[in-house]
Amino acid sequence: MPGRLEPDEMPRRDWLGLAGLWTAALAVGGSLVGMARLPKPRVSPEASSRFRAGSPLEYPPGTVKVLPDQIVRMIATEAGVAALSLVCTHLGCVVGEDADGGFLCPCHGSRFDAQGKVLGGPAPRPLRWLEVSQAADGALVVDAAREVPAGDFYPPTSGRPA
Amino acid sequence: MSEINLPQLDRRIKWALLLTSLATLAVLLASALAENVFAPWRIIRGRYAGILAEKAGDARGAALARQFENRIVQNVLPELGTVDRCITCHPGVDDPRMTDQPQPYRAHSGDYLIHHPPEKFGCTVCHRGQGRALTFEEAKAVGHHWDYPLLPPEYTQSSCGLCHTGPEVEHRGGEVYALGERLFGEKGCRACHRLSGRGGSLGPALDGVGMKVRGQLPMAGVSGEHTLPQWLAEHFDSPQRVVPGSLMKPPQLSREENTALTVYMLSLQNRDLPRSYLSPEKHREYYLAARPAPASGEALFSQFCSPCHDTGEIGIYDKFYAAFAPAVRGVAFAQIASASYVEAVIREGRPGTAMPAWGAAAGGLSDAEIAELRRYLLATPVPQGSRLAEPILARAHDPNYRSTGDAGRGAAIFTRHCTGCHGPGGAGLLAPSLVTSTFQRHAADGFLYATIAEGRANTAMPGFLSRGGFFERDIEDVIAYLRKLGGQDRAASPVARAQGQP
Ligand code: FES
Repeated sequence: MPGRLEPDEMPRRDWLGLAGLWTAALAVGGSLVGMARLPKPRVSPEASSRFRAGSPLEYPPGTVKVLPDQIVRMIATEAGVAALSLVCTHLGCVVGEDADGGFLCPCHGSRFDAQGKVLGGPAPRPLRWLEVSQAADGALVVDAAREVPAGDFYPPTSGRPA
Repeated sequence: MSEINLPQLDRRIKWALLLTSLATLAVLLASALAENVFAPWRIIRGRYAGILAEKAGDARGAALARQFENRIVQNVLPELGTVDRCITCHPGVDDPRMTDQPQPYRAHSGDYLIHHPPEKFGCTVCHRGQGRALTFEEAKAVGHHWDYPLLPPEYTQSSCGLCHTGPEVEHRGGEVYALGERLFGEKGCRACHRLSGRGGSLGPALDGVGMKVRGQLPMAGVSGEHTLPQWLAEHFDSPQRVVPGSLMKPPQLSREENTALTVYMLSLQNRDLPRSYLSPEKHREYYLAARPAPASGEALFSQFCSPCHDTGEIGIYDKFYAAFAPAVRGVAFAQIASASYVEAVIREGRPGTAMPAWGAAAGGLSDAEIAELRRYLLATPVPQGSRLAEPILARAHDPNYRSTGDAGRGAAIFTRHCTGCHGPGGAGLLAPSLVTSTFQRHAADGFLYATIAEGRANTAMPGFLSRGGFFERDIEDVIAYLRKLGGQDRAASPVARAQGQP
């Protein structure tokens, strides 16, 4: 029978006990991490913020076109194409086009110039400029979730990518 | 029992703890790897990133390769009620450079995606299957628990019909659908099947048949996969094998036609798609279905009548149905039938026989169409030799002519001369029934007289007056008997008899 006379045994048992405890702790910890991830799905069925705005050929320099479904104004210049969001930065109404090329919000009267800069009213920020890129088939793609600095025009390349 | 060996128990518990914890850790690690490293979609997208990098020849190609992320991508379309993640593993569908790649990286065939951007249409609205799946096996949605499995490629064109008409897509990638739609009209399917409120009632209505699920179909006779397309295709080959006791004549289709008609059936989905998805031509089709443009009598006849009546020029005994289809465009019939009689029979059908009612409330033909059809039937050209004698024609069209015969005598004559074909009591055997309510109500005495006297050319009905040895009185007696069969006892009315004396 092992006892105090055989001190070798104690460290070995200790090692076993410690290893068991540590792995158990790791297992519990790992499971908790896994469980903590559960409430956050990898992808949820939300409508995509990206949409196609058509072929670059539809936007020769000088074009100004409103896409009413997506609530953006597409602006094309020599420098490229840009997308200006028409959602008011105050409380989210859709701004209307003003006579002078600017915008007027019907809700609380914010006014913006053609570049989206605030001219008056309660709007705290200028209208958002959205990121424009190009899909593989050449179509322009606007991402309503990504903003770019005002005055940033995307220069589209024509045809298919090489 | 000896005393408990404490140190040994202690060791055992520790070992158990170590081993179970290790096993738990292993499971955790394995699932973390499976989810984050070895998920099939991750591997596929990882390879696609390589392809993109390889093909990045210019600035835009490089930008595309740079922007590519290894994450789940999807098209969420609340209007269509779909969430399609197919593009996660088919990332190259809209990339024209990917036509040379193997699946799942290949670009979509044809120019379908140019007119149907995936952001607006998704994938499953045309291909069916499970859009949320992230493995191919699950995306196919095969088995008991899935209603709409991935369509085999040869049937995908059925989805064109949700928003387009056949002629519209015939030369634009929808040729199979267009053929199916045409065959549906040409084969006269509407003679027995109703669709959008128009058609006969011998077979089931076909609205929404493309949305049937496997549980709704008898699958015992289907030798292939138990799916709706397979059921339809095998059913067209042999209706009786798939549906024992089916009344449907095998439609005799080539392989290609079978596929096309199956495609058309699959397109009949009765789905409430948003109006903005439908092409203007489809809107027009719906509009016209609600207010049919006047079709020619000939077109109506071929669509609704010819499967049973054929050309209508000769009387046909149909062995398949063991029933008689009269010569509705026969030369004799065209001369003696009145417009009101023909229209009434078309409108009301012949209850108790295979001839359904075609009026607006039943078969869906408008009064104008029935009149058009009647004009077509009665406009059958009559060759010189077949023209009936003037007195007979006059009597046939005389609305005031009433038979004054003796029903008792008529019964004896009828039994001897008529029951062979028309059956005992005129109930119909090889020749049509004479007791249906429509016939009794709308066939005038003059019409009966002319028919019995002169027979019907090109049918089995002989003329009894000239060659059959009948006298005029015999015919009148037979008519009286027929009226009695129909529930009118003329003999009980001496006034009528007195009035009717020549
Ligand atoms: S929402 Fe536009 S001004 Fe208030």
